[in-house]
Amino acid sequence: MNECLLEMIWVIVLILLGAFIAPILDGLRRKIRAKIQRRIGPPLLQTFYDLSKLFNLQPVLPFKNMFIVVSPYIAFATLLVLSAAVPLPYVPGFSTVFDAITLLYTLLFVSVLVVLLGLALPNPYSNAGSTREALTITVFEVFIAFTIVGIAYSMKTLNLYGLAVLYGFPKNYLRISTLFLSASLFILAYIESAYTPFDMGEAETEVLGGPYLEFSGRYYGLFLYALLLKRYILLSLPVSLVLVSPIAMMLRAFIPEPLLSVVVLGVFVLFLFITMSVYSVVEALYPRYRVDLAFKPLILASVIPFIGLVMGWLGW
Amino acid sequence: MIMYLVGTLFGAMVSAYILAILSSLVLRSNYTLSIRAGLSFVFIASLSQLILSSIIVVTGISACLYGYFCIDSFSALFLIVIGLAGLSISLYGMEYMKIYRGLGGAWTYSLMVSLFLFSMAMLCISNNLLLFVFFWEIMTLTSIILIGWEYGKEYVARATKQYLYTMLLLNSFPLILGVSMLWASYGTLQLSSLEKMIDTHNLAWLLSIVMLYIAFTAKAGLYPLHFWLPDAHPAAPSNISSLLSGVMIKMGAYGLFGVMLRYLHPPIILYYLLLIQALLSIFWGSIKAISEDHAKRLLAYSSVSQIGYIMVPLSLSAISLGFNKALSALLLAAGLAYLFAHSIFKTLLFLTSGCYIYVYGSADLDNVANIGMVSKTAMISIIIGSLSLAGLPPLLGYIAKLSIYASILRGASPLYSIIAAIVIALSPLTLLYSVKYMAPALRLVEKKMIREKIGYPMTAGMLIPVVSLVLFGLYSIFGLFTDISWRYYSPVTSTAPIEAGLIHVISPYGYYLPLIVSASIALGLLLGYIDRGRDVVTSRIWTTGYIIPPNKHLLRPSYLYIEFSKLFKPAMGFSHEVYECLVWRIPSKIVYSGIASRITRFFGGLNGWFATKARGLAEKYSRIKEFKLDELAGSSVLAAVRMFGNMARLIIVSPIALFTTALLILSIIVLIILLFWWV
Amino acid sequence: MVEFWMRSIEDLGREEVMSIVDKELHGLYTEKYAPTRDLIIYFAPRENIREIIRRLMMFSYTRLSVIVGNDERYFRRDFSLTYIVSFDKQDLYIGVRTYLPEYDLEIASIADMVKAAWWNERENRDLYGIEFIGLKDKRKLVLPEYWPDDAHPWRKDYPYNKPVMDWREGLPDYKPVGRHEDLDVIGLGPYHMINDEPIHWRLYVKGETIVDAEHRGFHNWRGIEKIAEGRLTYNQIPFIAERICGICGFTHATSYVQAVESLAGIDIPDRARYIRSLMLEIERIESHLLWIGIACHILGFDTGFMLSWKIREHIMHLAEVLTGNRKTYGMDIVGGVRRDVLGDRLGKARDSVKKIRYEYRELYNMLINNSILVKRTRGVGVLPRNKAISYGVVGPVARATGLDIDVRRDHSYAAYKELSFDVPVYSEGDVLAITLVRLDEVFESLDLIEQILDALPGGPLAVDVKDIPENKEAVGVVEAPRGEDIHYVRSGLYNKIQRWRVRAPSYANIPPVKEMLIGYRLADAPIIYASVDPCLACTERYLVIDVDTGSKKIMTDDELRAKSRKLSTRIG
Repeated sequence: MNECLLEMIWVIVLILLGAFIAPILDGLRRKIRAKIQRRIGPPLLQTFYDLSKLFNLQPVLPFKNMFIVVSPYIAFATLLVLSAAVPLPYVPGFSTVFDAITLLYTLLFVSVLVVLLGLALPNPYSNAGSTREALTITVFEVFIAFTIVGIAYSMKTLNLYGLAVLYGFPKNYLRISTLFLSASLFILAYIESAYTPFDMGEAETEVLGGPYLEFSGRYYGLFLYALLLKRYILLSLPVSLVLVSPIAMMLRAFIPEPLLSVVVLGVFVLFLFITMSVYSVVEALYPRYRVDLAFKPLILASVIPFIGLVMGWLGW
Repeated sequence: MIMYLVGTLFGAMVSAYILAILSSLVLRSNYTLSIRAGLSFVFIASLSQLILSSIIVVTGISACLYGYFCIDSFSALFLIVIGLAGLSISLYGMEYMKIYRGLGGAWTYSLMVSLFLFSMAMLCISNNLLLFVFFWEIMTLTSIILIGWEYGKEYVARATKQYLYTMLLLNSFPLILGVSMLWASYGTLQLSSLEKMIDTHNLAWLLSIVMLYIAFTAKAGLYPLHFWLPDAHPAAPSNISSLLSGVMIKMGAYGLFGVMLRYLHPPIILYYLLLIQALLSIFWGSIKAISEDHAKRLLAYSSVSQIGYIMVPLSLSAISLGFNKALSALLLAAGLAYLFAHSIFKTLLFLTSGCYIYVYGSADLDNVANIGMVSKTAMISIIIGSLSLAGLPPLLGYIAKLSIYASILRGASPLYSIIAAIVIALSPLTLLYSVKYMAPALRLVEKKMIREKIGYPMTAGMLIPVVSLVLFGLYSIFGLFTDISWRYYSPVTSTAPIEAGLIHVISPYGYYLPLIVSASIALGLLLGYIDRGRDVVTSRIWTTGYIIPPNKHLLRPSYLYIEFSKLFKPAMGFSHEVYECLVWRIPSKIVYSGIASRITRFFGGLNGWFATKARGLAEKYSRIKEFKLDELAGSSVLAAVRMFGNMARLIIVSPIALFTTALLILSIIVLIILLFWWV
Repeated sequence: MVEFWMRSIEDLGREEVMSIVDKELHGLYTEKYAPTRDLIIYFAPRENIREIIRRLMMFSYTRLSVIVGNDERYFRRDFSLTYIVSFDKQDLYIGVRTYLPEYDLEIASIADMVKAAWWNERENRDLYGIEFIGLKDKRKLVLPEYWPDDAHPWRKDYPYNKPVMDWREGLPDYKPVGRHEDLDVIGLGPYHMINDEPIHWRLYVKGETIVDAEHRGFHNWRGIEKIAEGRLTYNQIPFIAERICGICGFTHATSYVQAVESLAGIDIPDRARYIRSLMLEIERIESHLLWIGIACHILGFDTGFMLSWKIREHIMHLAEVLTGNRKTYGMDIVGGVRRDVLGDRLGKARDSVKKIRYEYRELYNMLINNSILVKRTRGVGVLPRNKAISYGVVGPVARATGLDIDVRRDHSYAAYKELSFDVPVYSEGDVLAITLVRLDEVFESLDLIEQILDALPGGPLAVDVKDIPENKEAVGVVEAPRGEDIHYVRSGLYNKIQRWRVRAPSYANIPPVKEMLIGYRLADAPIIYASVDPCLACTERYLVIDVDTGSKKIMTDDELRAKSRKLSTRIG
């Protein structure tokens, strides 16, 4: 029963971590972007202030409709629970029962919810934003498919916890296929998070925030929070598997089990910040794609996981 | 005791179907009454069929009648599919057929629907190819009449004719030819005897296999032979379209796997062909569905693509039969799970498209809006059905899709992984068109053209699939399908579960994922319920400063993916032209006009001959009076105990399971509250 | 249409062209006179106007600059319309004037033939009540929809301070021209992310593809010319003219004073000419950098936006060093400039130009090497050359479609004749070409500033202006950052002007945006619209007082004054 209690505690800890660190990561992103643009930029906790401002505003909506009112809560609650499923080696959470496909499809579920809302409102801007979002998801799925299949082939599992542990083993880690698949994981997290070249869906200067256009107050705040959580969960995939897992593997020899989890969590947070900084630098360097221009790079990018898959077949 | 129960239920089912036919004939002067009476008996028949087949699936027994009809777990699954669809459409049709009152002929409708369902049920359990063909032909015949229900309309007439000719040329003709050749070479049509007699060096065997393959793929609507489907399915009344897409095309799958693979030892190369056809179906159906803006045509194309999803794991199962039986069983289970899921949600979706027609008078996606204002149930049905179609957690569609991915990934070889990649990569196309189907109905704009309000029978008819999608989604029933598939390959031992096969790809606790997701959704619902938009101020839609009428100020559904569809336009246009020429223009000038009448007469005669033959056979065997049921009751009790034991063990042992169960209970309570408050 | 051939006159001299035009228009006009060196006015009956314009437009390449309406009932009980056609290569403006009696205000429209007349005719219809027969678009252009049809504010008997009628009677009702039942409508503006100033584009779309577009602007039009005509003296007007626009204010002031100087025959001192050129070039750099920033922002490239505006800070600081103001320099008066550029500041200016050039080159390389930026702009919003000619586009938009026109070189003014510079010309006509023209021009302007700083002559700042002759007319023209900014001025009695017509470059460049939008995506619409660098303040001639608040908190008046004083001290 002690173990069960521990698992429950870790689930709660991971949810709290997600809720807390997602806005901070966004704050970091804004700060670094500001530095590249030679501005001072907002403080690190600015996203918290923004959210608290949004939560305290009186919401103005075009319709008082249950579908509109409930959807932000569903999106937020789902992603909050999902943030307990981030894969971390030697940290038991929901990741012990989640597999990668379900994780991605649950993220997809939230995106579809947003897309639906955008299409339900009679506003062409949100309609256009939703359509772009859906098209981007569709075209990028080729990349995701190769990545998933490649990882399933190389690691022989899609269970998140299993992946997080197995990835660190030298026989898995030191392979050419793993190199390509790791790169794909980083790209996947970047593109799925809709950072700048790929933020067609909510392009502010074109479609005024797309699906979120008609939302305000705490409803927009919830969507924003959900988006940040989604980015955090996506970011945690490559960070945990590629960066944290081998380090945890090394640390395992020196640190006893219960303490190891805490150390892994610390390392994880550290690498989250580092990866986020790199992402922010990349993001600052590019303008936004038009959705039809983005098709080609989105499809072409899938060459990388495909090479990983082929290498896996060859046993490299 | 179970034997008697099964016998009684079977009797009840058959007699209810016959009563449905009789009652509709007796009451033929009264439109409403004849439909209601007929459909009530269909409801009873479906219910008993459902209970019967559920018992058989859960217990794992098989029951035989004269040796000519045989129900085992595999065909019982198809009976479940038919029964569930029958339940919904019989309730739904009672109200929905109101809009066809002007056409009259209600008794024909009841007669045809009951015959249609009856023939499908019977062909799934017939153990004799002759009976199989007989019921198959009844199915085709009744479906032709039902498709041509509004024969006065030009597109319906065209679709019916096309369906008729296609079925004659590509379905009945090869089927009868193939069966005749088998009879000519082996002298028997009893499947269990054929299985032992088949020799794989016989040319007649090969030819007949090819013939049957053509017939079954044409019925299933697989890629090159799918062209009749998108015209025929939308032409019928919506509850019939439900049956056509939800049930009838699965009969092709039954033919391929319940008859051919099981008894006729087909060459495996055929199943590679099937795999390619299935992949092409997925792609082609999705692409066409995305560019379609008529709700029912969109769903029909979606059926083309979804039958591909069903056939991919099934054909892979046949392919891997030779070298990995466990994998093969797993793949079969995944295919059956998807077949089951697809039948439920496609039935539901066609019923909701019927709501479009019922409420707005048209199934054009540009004409529908704000269905939630008319009926909350219809809105929920559309959302649940489309999300299932898109394969999103935590609904049944997702479980089925996940089992496909997981089982294909289990076959760790380049072929399997590349097919898994293709299937995963194509899946969001489904998402695109399901969003396109669902979003217009949720558009929050005023719609003045409302023809009829949706009443209780239609609501009830749609609620049945909705509830099944949610409940079956909550507790993955994948284990049941692995049982079925295991029994399919080794009918004697039903005690070797292969859930263990999934461990490598998805987690051992995989069944609890939907619970976690749905618990979080329920949490969101609860929070939303608490919020309830208490201090929301409403204001006009943001039109950037100028007043623009809200029904103009949006992107209409038909243009939504116009940029994306453009990518495939050349291929689509070319293919359309080719089909138009090959299937419609040239044949209608040359074949259909002159030769077709003769062929029709010829096949009519052939059918008649078969009918007399069947009648003679029936007379011959009518002397035997008792049911012969297999004595496997003991093992079925064991299976049930094992299943519940597994559940209990998992719940007690795993804390996460406990946690999710608690969340589940919470979510159910919340759902009930919300349903009361919404509806 | 067989006779619609083009006659190339690009290589011919001014005298030659004048005689050709005389020959061409022989018999169609009654008399002609030349008020100033570069303006010739032909008088013609209204029946001949269409034919005359057709013949003038047959030369390659001429363009209709502006149609000036005038209420001349004080002189001859008539209204007049003057069609000013620009012969760019010959430094020549040819005006065709017709008089319309008060009781019969009808004339054939030329908008079907020359697209540039479209807005001009609508404006004259609104303001003078002149009916253009055959004009398809009968909507109001500058006046609001609810304005009564019989009130024409620019007639002289309509007082400048007459209150607007009771607008509460009806809501402003937009009447769409297009009948597109099968298309969806997207309103773009007046309150849209990309609109810094109010304009309404109504896009008719199929999916995201734009099938048709309509424009409605002039939400802030308030008749600044009327105020000038009625109340201000000649030397007050430059200051109000400079406040027409917050970005290219100095070009308006310069354009106006040049028109007045031209009609009065005043030669201004050399130093004044050089200082004017200096300020114009500083303004051009500032405006282009602003546009580059906005274009980057629209394309989602905020880094480019921030860096570009950072360089713009330097140039505004330079302006502050030289004139004491970051914007709205207040330098121009009739006869010269008000304030001198002191010697010790020239060194600072040279340093800052060097700094700007270095930083700008970095930005330039960053932008043109950014593949996505190029992809987003290449082949987008193409304006075909024949349409560009018909719409009479000017400035970078014209130069991007291969029309080699630049007022600085063609109708040379200020000190440009003595300076050397290149005019970048591209021929693709897409947004990328327009962008490249602007990017190149910044380098040219930096060169020009350096040349001016080197060659700044000494001498007085302004001449004494005694009297402005009555009832004379002239055009003043300046190459604004957005193109040819033309001011028509006619002097009146009592030391007041009788008619002042401002035709800002955006007035010529915004109408073709309608054509540029068609066929492209909703995603392209903002950048296509922004590519002409629309300056609605100029177009609609409302007042913009550019407030650059660099401070973080809101300051009281006293604080602000103290801070300005401190800043000035620091600069001094």
